[in-house]
Amino acid sequence: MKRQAKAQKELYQRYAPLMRAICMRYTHDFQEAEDMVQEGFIKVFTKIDQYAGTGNFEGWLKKVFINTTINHIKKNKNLLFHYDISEVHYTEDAVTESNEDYFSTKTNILDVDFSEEEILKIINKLPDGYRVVFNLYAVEQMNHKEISDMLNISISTSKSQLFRARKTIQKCLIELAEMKVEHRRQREDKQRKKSPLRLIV
Amino acid sequence: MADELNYIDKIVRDKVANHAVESSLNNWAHIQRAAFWKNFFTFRIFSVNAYYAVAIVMIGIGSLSYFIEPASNVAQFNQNDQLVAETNPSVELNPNNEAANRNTPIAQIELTSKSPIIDSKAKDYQIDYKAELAKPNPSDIAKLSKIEIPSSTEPIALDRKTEIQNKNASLTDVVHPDEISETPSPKLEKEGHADAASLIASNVTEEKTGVLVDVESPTIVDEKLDSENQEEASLLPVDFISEENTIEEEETIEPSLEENLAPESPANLEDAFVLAEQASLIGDLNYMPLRSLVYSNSMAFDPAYRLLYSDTFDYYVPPAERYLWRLGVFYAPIYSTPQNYASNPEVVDVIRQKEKIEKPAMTFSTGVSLQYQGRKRIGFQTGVGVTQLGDLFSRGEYSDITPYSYPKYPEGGYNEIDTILFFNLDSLLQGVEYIDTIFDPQWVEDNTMIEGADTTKYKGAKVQNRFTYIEVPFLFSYNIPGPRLSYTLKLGMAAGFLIQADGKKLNTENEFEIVDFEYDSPKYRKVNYSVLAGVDFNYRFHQRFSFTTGFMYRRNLFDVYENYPYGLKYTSTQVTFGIQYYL
Repeated sequence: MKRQAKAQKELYQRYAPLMRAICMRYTHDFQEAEDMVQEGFIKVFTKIDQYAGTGNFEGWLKKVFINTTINHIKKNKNLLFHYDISEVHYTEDAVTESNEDYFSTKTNILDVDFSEEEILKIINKLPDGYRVVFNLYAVEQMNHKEISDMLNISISTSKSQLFRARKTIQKCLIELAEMKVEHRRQREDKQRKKSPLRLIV
Repeated sequence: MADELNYIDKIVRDKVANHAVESSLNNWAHIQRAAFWKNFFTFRIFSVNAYYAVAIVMIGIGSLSYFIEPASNVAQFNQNDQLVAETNPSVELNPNNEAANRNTPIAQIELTSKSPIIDSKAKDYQIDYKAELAKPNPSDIAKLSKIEIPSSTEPIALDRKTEIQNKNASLTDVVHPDEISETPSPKLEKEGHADAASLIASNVTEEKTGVLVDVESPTIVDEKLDSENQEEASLLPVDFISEENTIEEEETIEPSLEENLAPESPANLEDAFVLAEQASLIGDLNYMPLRSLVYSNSMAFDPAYRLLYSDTFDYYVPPAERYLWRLGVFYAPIYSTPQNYASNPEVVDVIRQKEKIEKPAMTFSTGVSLQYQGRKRIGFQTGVGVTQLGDLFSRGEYSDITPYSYPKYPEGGYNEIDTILFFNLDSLLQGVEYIDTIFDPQWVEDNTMIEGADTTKYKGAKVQNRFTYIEVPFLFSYNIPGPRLSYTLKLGMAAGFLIQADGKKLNTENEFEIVDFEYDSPKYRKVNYSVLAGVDFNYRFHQRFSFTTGFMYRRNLFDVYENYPYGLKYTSTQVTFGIQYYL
């Protein structure tokens, strides 16, 4: 019993930071993320006998936590994906030809170095539906069929949520990138103005 | 287009996939506690859990009561207990066989000191009749039940009686002088014989172990004698009937009545009267089967004592037979779980939503019960009680998203549309408070229309549905008796009469809103029926009182409503606590 408790504590200390980060990607509420972490570890400790022993343990752990997180959100937030892509006539095609500067934007964004915190802030600003679908698709690398099954939504809803999430993130990244560029430019200007003075001195 | 945005995924994934956030150890303490209790209440074969703990406690209580309490068929008798002859002995089972099957002592008779003669005789016989007898070995009991002791059919010549008396105790030792009849019995007068049974019965008084006697089927001592000599042999004392003392070798003279009575001898005279009395009584005894076999000291076994001092004896009657009726009061917390189903396919989505937000609730049941315990362990139980069923109608915050399509100029830029400018009158009227509206800014895609959604957040709500019934159960029961702890399995039905309904439901037009049932006035079913099944543990802590606890499963047979598309039944489990009085 004592050995089991020790092993559990070691497991917690090793994986808790990673699992907390996962939870915080799905909710912007810190306290809620704490609850999810607790719920997830309780589930792990009570159902650890279900782990077959084969395969990646961290992968199994992540899966448990993602399921816990999704259930938690669904239970407490009544996560709804109300408007289907077909219902609101909001299709991906509608924006295909709209902006010619996508490639240049992409190049610009890729040039900028964003911090983890900045990215997390952007994700946390997304509406619940966007955030959950984007996380599952982009980070957890699940496909739309798996996402639709997990969230009990249609595949087209999953696609539309992902598209909207990407667009929102893209917009935020562009704004952030522009701010960073502007900030850098201002700093460079300041330095340029200061440099002659130094020379004079 | 989607592929063009893939790089967004990559940027995010690269940054957050292996992101870690340090955690506090306070969480660990909470997790450890919660995991322990969750594990404790989960059944696993190879780990300590609540189910094993309950089993150990139950076995412990049972074992304790086994050692504290004498065997179940040993009862104490008070002065008011009476020996009652069977009214219809022919239908009574042979208790010997029952005793052998049970492998337990049949009964232990405890004499009271009501009769002074018993005390004095006990001293004479050096019997401590108040002492508890050692519990016999079951195998010995089985043997004892097969012992055959001749009784009542062997006449004995009175001239041999003195001889027997010299060797053993006579009936005069066990008969109260007041009980001696002045008149010799007609049987004695006619045959000049006394019944051997009483003498033989008194012969065993020296034995201090229990003896089992089958009074109903007495046997002849020596069946080897031919029929011709049976009559002759019957005139001899039992001791003389043997292969060595054959009838032919020894001449027997039938004594006359006058000789045998020996009127000049007061002792003999007394004996004669006593024997006469006994002869008549033993006759009755033969037709009065014992209710139970006797496991006792020989004094208590003595038929003469039983007859003459019947008010000081009784036979053991098992409690289940003695206390057939039990009246009890009980209280039971109920874990009530709603079972939703759609009787109309159109409301399947609403039912799905209901299932998400309805949770089990703790309710209760209380009342009085009346239980009948039959002789064959089978009985029934009825009563009346108040039973409440219900659920916790709980819903967290939820968002209602209103899609819109709206013409907007000029093109480009973001637009926000708020569908609820000041307050949501509809939701407020229905008692569902909203928090705020969250604008969902939309990029104007072309120069004519903007399409998007406005999200309205509503506050969470918690309500309790309660349905209270007056319930009349009728259950068949099967009793498994024990020394103090008995088990009763129960199965039956209960009729519930609705006396109060406090219900909430989802609005059928907007399934995310909770409204009173009166909103569209569904008809409640006034009488509903439930199936009940369970087990009771009955711990008898007093001769007439017992403590009862048990588990009961209940399931509604019909919907809570009548003619309503949203089907609702309750299943519940309850733990009962009660006190019972043995009537």
